Amino acid sequence: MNFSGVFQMLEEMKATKQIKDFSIYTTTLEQIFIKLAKLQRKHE
Amino acid sequence: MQKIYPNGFKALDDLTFGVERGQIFCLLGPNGAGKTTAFEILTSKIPKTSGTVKLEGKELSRELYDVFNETGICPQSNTLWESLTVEEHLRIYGHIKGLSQNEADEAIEYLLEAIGLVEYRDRPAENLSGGNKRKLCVGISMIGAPKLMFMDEPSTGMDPLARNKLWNLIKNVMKGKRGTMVLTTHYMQEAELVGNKLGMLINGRFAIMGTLGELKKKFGEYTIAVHEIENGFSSLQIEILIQSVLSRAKRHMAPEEKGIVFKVFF
Repeated sequence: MNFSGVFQMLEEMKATKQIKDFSIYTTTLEQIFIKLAKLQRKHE
Repeated sequence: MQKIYPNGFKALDDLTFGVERGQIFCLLGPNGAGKTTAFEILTSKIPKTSGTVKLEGKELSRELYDVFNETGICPQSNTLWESLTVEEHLRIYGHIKGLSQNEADEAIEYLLEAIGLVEYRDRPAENLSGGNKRKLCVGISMIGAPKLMFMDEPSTGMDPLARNKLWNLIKNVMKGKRGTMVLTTHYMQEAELVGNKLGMLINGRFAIMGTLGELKKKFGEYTIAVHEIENGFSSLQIEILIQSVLSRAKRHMAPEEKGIVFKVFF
């Protein structure tokens, strides 16, 4: 996945004031836990 | 292994897993998922309904003494003698593990420092805070450098500094790759930091098991959020630009009026 390309592009857009800010993040283990924990409630 | 209680409740449903030497296996799951039941079967506190548990290649039900000679257990509830001091606890368990006087002295000093109980060494357990009692139980389970370690929510009740110390201690203990650890926790950060392999229990079965990378590959995604698009530039233009370098980026609902969010699945 070309994340370096996305970073570069968004940084340039920020520098030229086309966008104010941006962020890139990945799913945390906590989010996976919450997603799966909901399955338990459905079965109870 | 399988555990069915007399009322018919199936707490563990054909749970199968293995942990290689030198690895930490983190058992995760919501309350009631079966973590403690699995832990208590592995540590022989309760019997299983059916199945086989082998530790170091030895069948737990037949060779309990041989196995537990080289096992350290930190149960969920603190099992301490109220009137004995911190050092006395460590010394007693050191002798049970067969350490000589010198070996015990050395191990006690190391553990007191590593778990942050140096200043409490002469304090009776009844006068320790909840967090310090927990630290002592962790220390007891680690004295004698056992080959197998079972930790049931070891960091519960510890402050963030103490938790960090515990994680460092676990990493140091496991450095030599001699030991094997099964750890249950509700702190996902703890599992991410110390676990080599993670298993998430739901209704007594593994919903998912693997390394952190494997779990994220199966359930994870990347999020790209552009927080404010300035005047004169449209969200559609942003979308076209982002997809020109990352074709898998799919537009998602925007959390704010002037923003745009993309999801990229692994």
